[in-house]
Amino acid sequence: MLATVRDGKLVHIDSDPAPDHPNRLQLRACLRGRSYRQIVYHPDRLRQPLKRVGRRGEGKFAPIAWDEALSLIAEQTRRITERYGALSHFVMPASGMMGVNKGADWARRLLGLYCGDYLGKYGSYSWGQTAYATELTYGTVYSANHVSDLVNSRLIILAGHNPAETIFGTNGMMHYRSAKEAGARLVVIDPRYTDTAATLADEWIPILPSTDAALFAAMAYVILTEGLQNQPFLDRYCMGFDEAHMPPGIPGGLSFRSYLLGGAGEPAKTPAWAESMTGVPAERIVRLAREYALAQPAALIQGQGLQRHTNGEQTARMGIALAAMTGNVGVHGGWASGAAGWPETVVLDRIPSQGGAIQIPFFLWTDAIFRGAEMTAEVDLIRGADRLPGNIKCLWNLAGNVLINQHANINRTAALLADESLVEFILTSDLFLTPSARFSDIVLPATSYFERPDIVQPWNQGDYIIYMNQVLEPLAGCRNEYDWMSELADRLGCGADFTLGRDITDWLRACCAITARRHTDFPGFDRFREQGIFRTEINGPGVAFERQISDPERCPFATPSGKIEIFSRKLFDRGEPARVPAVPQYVACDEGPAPTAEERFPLQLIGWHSRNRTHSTHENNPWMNEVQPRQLWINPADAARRGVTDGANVRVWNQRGSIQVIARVTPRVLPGVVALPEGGWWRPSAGGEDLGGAINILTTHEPSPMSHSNPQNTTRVQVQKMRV
Amino acid sequence: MATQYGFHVDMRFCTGCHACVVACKELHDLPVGLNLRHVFEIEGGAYDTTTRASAAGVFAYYISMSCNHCTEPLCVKNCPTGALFKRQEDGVVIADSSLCVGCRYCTWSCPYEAPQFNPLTGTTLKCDLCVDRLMEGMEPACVAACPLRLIHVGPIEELRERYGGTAAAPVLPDPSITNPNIRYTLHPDALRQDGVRVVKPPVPEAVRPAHGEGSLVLFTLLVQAALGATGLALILTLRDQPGAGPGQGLVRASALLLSVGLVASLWHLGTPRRALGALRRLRTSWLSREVLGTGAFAGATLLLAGVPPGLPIYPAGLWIAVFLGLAAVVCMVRTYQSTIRPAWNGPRTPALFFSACATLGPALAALLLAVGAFEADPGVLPTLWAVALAGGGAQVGAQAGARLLLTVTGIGGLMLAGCPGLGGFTTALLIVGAVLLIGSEALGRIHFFAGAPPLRVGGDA
Repeated sequence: MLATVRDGKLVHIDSDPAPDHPNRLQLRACLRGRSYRQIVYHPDRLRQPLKRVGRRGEGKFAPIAWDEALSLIAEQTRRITERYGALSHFVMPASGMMGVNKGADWARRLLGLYCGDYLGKYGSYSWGQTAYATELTYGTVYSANHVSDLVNSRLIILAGHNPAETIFGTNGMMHYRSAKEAGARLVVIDPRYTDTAATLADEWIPILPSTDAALFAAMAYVILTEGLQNQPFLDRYCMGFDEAHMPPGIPGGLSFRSYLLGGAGEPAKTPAWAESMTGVPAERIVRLAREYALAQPAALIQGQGLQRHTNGEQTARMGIALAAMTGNVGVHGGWASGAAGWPETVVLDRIPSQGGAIQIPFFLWTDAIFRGAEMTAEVDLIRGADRLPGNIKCLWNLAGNVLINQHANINRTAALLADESLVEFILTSDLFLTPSARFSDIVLPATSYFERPDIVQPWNQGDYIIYMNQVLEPLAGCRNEYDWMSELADRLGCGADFTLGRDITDWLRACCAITARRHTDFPGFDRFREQGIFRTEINGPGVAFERQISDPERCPFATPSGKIEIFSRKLFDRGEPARVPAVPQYVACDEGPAPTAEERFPLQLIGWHSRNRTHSTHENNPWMNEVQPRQLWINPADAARRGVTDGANVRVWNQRGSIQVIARVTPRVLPGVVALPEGGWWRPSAGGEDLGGAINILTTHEPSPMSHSNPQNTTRVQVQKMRV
Repeated sequence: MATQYGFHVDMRFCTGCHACVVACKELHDLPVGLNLRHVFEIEGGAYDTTTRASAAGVFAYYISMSCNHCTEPLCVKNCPTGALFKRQEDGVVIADSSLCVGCRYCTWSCPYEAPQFNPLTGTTLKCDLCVDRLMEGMEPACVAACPLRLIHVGPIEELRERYGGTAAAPVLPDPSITNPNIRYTLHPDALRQDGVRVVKPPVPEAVRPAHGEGSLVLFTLLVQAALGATGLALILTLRDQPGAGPGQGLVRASALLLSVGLVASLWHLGTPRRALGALRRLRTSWLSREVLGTGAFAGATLLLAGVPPGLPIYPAGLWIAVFLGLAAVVCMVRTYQSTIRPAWNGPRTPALFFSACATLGPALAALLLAVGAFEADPGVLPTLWAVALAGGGAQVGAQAGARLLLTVTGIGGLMLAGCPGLGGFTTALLIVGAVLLIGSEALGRIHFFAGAPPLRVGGDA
């Protein structure tokens, strides 16, 4: 971004002035970035440290001086570390600041130096399930081709992928546009008629949430029974597709092929079988399967929302099995499916820290609050140790709203955090008094992107890194995390080790050392800082697993068998074949499609990333709320049954909580499904009902079975018109 | 004109992200609720739950639109101040806020919602195609912001040659109205009309207009009442001549009403201190002419109010005042007919306005009679009845609906008041009849302003 500052005030934001070139597309800021002045100068910006004075979560605070705040933090850090040990500290997952100069990283550095360790985590709310499942199947999460390679695809199936609204990479949609203009056919599978469907889709296949694996299984069945699979590919590169390619010592009948064909009391995974669960007509499943198998090459692209279900790991692995069956792995125009991660193009170091080797699955941090001492590697998938030594006692929440808002089942989290005998100290640094900040003991006023220097990496496949020059002095009273943590480190006796005598710019320079070594075209730190951006040359679109396919002997997949593990011995060994089968299977979810319309909670609820927010950031940005107000999407059929009209106030509720929100009656969502964008801030009324459209009031904290990740799109609710 | 500039927008790939809207908003620092570019969301079709097969029936697409810098811009033609003008060199329609009185007439004249009234400044602003940026070799903010590079700016003929496209689609206002310089490459679903609707998100709090059209309800009714009263005065004077006419009270009342009405009209303006600027476009703008006509009418009645009816120039003065009043109301009719509100374009507007003259004049006279402001004369009442009945008849033409009952009852009241031997009830009947007539016109006028949706993207709903 280009910031224009006049008399110390940010007056205009523009973006990349470099010319737009087909091979080097201009990096255009999105609407949220363009509206950022509304955040910087928002009247609700925190301007002084706050100390909680009421009960935790009650929202009563008293302003205090920075000196007092830091004394309190130092005292609590010291006390908790001495009493409960280093692993009682947990730094919250947070995405409010995504640069190198990031509060969470500074906190980890500080804890590593002061206590020697802290409780680590693995996985993320973004893609916990598919990352786990894809790594298990391919040996890596990096299963994407470069998106510019899509021009080589003849068919692109977007399953729960919505790049138009999620903005998957700054120029992501440009590549889809190019692919479409190059003649690719596009099919969108989604319960919503997304903006992606509106602009790209030749065909929209609406599907009931949490049933995608059934659709994929039936496609695999059609491909198999019609003999359309790429058998040489399966024979050569895959483990466990059929009985002839199983690991030694596994009983018969457990291959993927056996699962598809059924028998011995198990149904065959026919299109008719899938229709009853997915709501997709059988003939359409047959057609889609044939299209996918015959349109070589074809890309089956899974969105991350697709895996945020109680059976999301199965969907991720089932998609990979389809890609393997059709030989679309490791080829131009194909797509290996799964997580579709992409290794960073421009390499950059992070702020170094020590510790964090003992890790919990990210989604289990609330469990670690009250049963950490019971959590084990075997049951809870703890990494780095057989079990945890104790519970979490101190939460460091830096530029994050996961603490209460973005984690599932808000009412449960609120009850856990409100119990001051569990977590004894919660610290938040943020721009606003977010729902998470309200559950903190100390809240510190932070600095925005414009008030501190930073280096940011691009989201998804960008060929650049950006130097964000500090253009504004921190707003009076606000301090960036490195600034106050340096002082805190002094008080804890590790100040010199923490700063190494460096200012932030020195640290950013140090983080670029690796960039200079790895990229011969890197112009050096000073020049980089001056230009504000470094873009590197890439030699044509990269293709995942190209080497594994062309030279399997020397480049096996990074799995135990060296093959694409459609059958996973690791999963087999977990001994939970019904919940965690060793081959991808459709596992029905308790809160999947309602069996009958008479259910107490008959409607399925899904969230999505709406254009007006980045998760919960910009929720209070007036320009963004103008672009898209808070609304629940509901189909006219479901609305009519409830007397709900467009714009009416409705109550959405289930066994976990209740929300009041405005309804948008639209054919753009499937009957039986309602949709509410994620990221609305929890605003409980006096009666405990949410007025802020916070979807996590309704979502479940029960983790997915395989990776123990977040399943927020598997939720059932009821909707009712509010009496005015 | 040298070259006409305009936009081309490729609707096919517009994701409705609003980056164009926000970039424009950011550049101009616009408050919530005010945007010089809009993204319209259109949806339609339906999902058939019985067959599940027609999911493809659902459709949605977006239209990004700002000012189309029309070849025949109604906003420019109707602007009474000259604040809106079309540049000779490139055909760009510009708003000079230093001339704008904030009458909002342009916002009633544009089928594309291009001119936007800013309640904070009291003036209207609109897309200027970023001509300053163009001169510096930069693209307009919206063009430079589109993540899919779908908005293009340039000489419209070049855009037409390069991209083709059209300005006509079922959801777009008929391009023949203003001849817009916009080319759309249509979305494949843009021709569909099954269940089609423009999605209207709830309006944020801050957007509510600063003031409604209450002052115009008052202004138009007062001017029309004054014309009715002056006309009645003329009729009575002609009948009674040469003696001391009972019309003097009516003329004085008209002068008062017009003065109040003109003040009320100022209240409607965003920048009332520039009100005289509204006389600057007599050549094209009916609103300018309306302002002049009303002012002259008011001036004539004020002068006449001081002239003793016995003077020989009095009838001539009345003739002039009535003529000016008629001219003012004709201009008023044309002012509303010249907008893009279908409910105002037809014969309903003159029927409504002139019927109001005919019922409000007698109503005013009845009130004056009731308070004894002019001598009762047995010949006066039938004249009132005749005029009011003519007004009531015209109301049928104005599709007055249920409020006709009020009018009829009001006239009935005036007629009853003519019956002999009522004593004190005569006054009460006169007042009730007058109030019913006034109430009927007030209701009609409120509905006139509130029930006239503009023609815009997606129709006039």
